[in-house]
This record gives sequence, C-alpha cells and structure tokens, in this order.
Amino acid sequence: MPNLMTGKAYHCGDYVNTDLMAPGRFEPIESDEQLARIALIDYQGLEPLVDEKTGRSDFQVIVAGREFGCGSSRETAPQALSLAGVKVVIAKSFGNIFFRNCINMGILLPIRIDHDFDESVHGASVEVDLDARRCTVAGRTHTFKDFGPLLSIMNAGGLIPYALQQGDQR
Amino acid sequence: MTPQSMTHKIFARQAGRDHVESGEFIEARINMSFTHDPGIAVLTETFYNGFGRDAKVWDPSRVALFQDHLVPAKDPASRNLVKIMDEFAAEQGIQHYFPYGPNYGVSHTVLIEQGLTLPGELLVGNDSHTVTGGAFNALATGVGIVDMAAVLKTGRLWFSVPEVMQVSIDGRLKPDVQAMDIMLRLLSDIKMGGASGKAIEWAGSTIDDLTLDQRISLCNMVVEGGAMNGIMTLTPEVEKYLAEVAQRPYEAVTPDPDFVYERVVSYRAEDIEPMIALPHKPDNGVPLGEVVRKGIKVDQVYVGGCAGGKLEDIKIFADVVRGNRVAKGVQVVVVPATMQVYRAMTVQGITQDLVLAGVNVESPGCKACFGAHGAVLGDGDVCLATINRNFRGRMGSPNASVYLASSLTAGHTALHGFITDGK
Repeated sequence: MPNLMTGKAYHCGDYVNTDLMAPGRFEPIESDEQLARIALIDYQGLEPLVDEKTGRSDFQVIVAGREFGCGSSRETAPQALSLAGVKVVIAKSFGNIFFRNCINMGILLPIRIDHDFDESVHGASVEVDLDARRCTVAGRTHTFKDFGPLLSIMNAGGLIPYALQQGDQR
Repeated sequence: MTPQSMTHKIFARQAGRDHVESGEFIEARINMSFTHDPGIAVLTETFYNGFGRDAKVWDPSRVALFQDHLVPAKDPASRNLVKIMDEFAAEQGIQHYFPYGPNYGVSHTVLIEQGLTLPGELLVGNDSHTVTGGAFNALATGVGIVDMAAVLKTGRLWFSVPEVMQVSIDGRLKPDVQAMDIMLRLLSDIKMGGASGKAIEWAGSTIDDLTLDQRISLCNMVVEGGAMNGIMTLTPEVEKYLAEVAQRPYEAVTPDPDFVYERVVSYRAEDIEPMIALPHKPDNGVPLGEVVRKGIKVDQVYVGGCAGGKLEDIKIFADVVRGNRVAKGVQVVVVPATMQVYRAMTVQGITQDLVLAGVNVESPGCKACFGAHGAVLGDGDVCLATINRNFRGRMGSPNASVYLASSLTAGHTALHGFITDGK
C-alpha cells in the first residue's frame, strides 16, 4: 500500500452494495477485463464509473456514504473496483466483509470517516496520506483512525503474505 | 470480572483469553469453516499460490465444502468449478463435502442439518449469510476469500471485537406473523446500517418460543442490518435437535446478566404486523396492509433460499395453496433450501400438493435468490419473494422489482396474482 495516493473522486450514496458492484448475473466471471468493465455497472450514479471505450475508470477514489460494500461477501466486488483503477474508498461506514476483503487483498484502502460530502464532490481531487492518517477531498482535510494491527497486514501485502511472515515467527 | 456478552465469550475462548473488549483486534482459533462453488477457483488458487503447491489444510475435519450457488451446472464454466472442488476435496481429504447429489443444498441450512453448526463455536464461511448459525448459539460470520485461504492454512483469523446490541421481543406473536415480518420490522426501524459491524444478541420470551426454522430466519437476516453476527441462547427444543445431529460435544454460552449493551431495541410481539419490503432494499419495510390496498400485480412468486426455503416456510405456503390453483399468468416457483427439505416435502405429500396447485418445484440451491439462474427476472418483472435481500439486480435484471415478504403472504399472492394478505 503506497503511503501517498492522489486521484479524482467518484461520488456514491448510502448503501451501495456488492450486487451493484459485481452483479451475480455475470458469474462465473470470465476475465479481469470483464470484471473491470462491470465495476459498479448497476449503480445509478452521476455517470458510469467505467469508461465504456477504455473499460477502465478515470476515478481513483470513491467517496461514499454509509455501508459501502454491504451485502454479499463476493471478493469480485473490491476486485472489480480495483481492476477498473480505483485505489481508495472513503466512506462513512463499510460492509463488514467488504472491509475485510480490502485489507486482506491489499488492493483498496478503505478509509472510514464521518463526512458530509454530497454529489458536488464528484470529480474533485483527493489526496491521501496514510502515514499521517489524513485525506484531503475538495480542499477539505479529514483525519482517519489508526488501522492498528491491520496496517501490518496491509504492509505485508495482504493476509496471505502476512500469515507466511507470522508462520516464520511461530 | 468484566461482564461479557455471548459474542465476547466465544471470542475470548477462541483467542485463549479471560475476556475481550469491544473495539480490540484479536486473533481467534476457528472451530469450523466452509466455502462454496462460486469462489472455489479463486480460493484454491489463492491457497496454493500463497502457501505452496503442497500446502495442506490445517484440519480436514473442520472444513466443509458446498455446491449450492451454480448447481446443477448452469453452463460449462459452472461445471468446471465443480471439478475444481472435487479435486480440492480429494487432495485435502475434506471430511464434509456436499456436492450436487442426494445431500446437497444451501450451505447454511446443510450445516445445521448435519450438526456442524454448534453452540459456543466460531464458524466462518465465504458467504454473508453465514450469520444463520447464530440460531444455534454459534458465533457465525461471513468472511472473504483471502480470509478463508488463510483460515484453511492456519485455522486462525483476525477479528475486531464488535459492539453488541440487544434485540428483545416479549409476548405472543399474531398468528399471521412470521420471523420474516419481525425482521422486516426491525430493519425498517434500525435501517441497513443500524447494526453496522455489531453483534445482535436476541432475547425475550417470543424468541424463546420460536420454532427452529423461525429462529434461523431471524439470525440469517441480521446481516441486512449490517451486523457482523447475530446470536441466540439455546432452548430445550434446540438442545433436543442438537442431541440428535451434533457431530461434536459443545459448550454453549449465555450472556452475563450485568453486561451493558451498546443499544437495546425492544418490541412487544403483539405490536408486530405482517410486513413487506418494497424494492430495492430490505429496510424498505412497510405494513403489508399499505401495499395490499394498491393491488400490485406480480409476474412471479418465489419461495426459496436460506431465509425462506426451509421446510416450515414451504409448509405454511403449501397450507394456503393446497387444493387451489395459482393465478393465471404468474410463475410460482418453490426452491427448497436443501435435498433434506425436498425429501421431507415429498414424503409428507407437500410436493404433490404444490405441483397439483400449479406450482413449479425446482431443485434445491441458491438459484434466483442471487440472480444467476433458475427463475431469474427480466426487465419490468415484479416478483414477491421470501428471500433475504432485494437489492437492484439481485434476482436478475436491474430493471425488475422485488418485494420481500413471508411465505404466508407468498401463498396468498400466488393464488390471486397480486400482492395480498388473502383477507
């Protein structure tokens, strides 16, 4: 997980669930290419997350409301976002398993903050400083809570490399 | 000693500690773990790539594998997943394998039937509805694929100990109220984020009086409120059931009486009405009467899944449609949760009654409840379903509308072709 991340914000409302991020009707998923293309395909946002021409997203940061990633445990949800080009999700709260997947896969940084950003945040620039636990969205800076021991998992590159490291120590 | 909830006690036991505090990160030993077909390719790839081609699971007696989402194979790719699972089960000597065949079904329900969901245990599965196991006093919670790969190797996993809220219900339910109605009422009050990351511990005389299948429905749907798990104390009926099926001795937990819950939500059972959740969120619940007045026509009635396809749900549905014909132009589909449910229906004559009433009884599994196959919805379709969530696109087309209700409401709606309580 890089310490400094910057990008353009994509706005999501409350309760954006994993069915909207990677719908079951595409199962089984054929390729990374396909998974990137369906990222948030059923979410009716201000515009599609993924550019139809390139199959990728111009947005690196999702700024969401409550319970982002609620619903099904499917790992294809954070994977789809990540494959499309998203690196960070800033939300008021996360679905439990989605949050775990983000940490364990080491592909998306899930930042929990109380915020009052609305649709006007869409397209704004975002800067995240992981060490300083600070994110700046549309010129407004919030600090976020320490990831505690989860940072060791992220820094190891995810739960598997972390388990391997721990195994060596046991 | 600090007072502990049931959730705290199980976490403390599995972390080898006297007690744990909400908010702290712990590493806990897993008692039972499981996964199912849609994730098996990624899981085995993650497991072998991560831990080496010769890696072995930590304990083959504490891993269960299920084929429930994509069986019978809906396409060649689904069939290939099944083969990967066959191979993994053989290679690893997995002791609890439930492939498509005489003993398959939705994982959560099969685990209960097989006595693998046990009180006081920490149970993790690759499915958000793993929380179902709380009905048997287990700390049961859904995890991701990478979590599971690590569990398979190490038998351990990190957790953040949740805050605990109590939902207590006392009194006698009205005869037309099922667990689904209780849950839709609770969700409409606390909303989808109301239990975000928390444990829900159930209490009260109404909960103690519920049948096994109704208990299961309540715990199954706590995840729709964002909860990490839901858990109930044992009752004599549950203990009797476990005496017949439990595969291991167990040690149940009860909450300390002086434990202070983060929040308490209380109901009088008599105040709970039949409910229905409007599209496209399970917390869009309103009293059924409000929707009945609108005479909403349905294209499909779907009774199935781990929330609404258990034997009791199907019996209640059958009691309404028996001897009648389902409405013309409505697809009425019953998907038993498991083969055991299907066998019981058949032995008891329920399958026959349903088929004679014009109902299509499909083979068990997750089917259209997760939108991949088996009576999925198209554009503009309206469906009343006894399943646990109605997110946009969940049952197929994002342009379909799904209403959630009890199997009693499903029975009346199937006969009339529009949403009704039959009164």
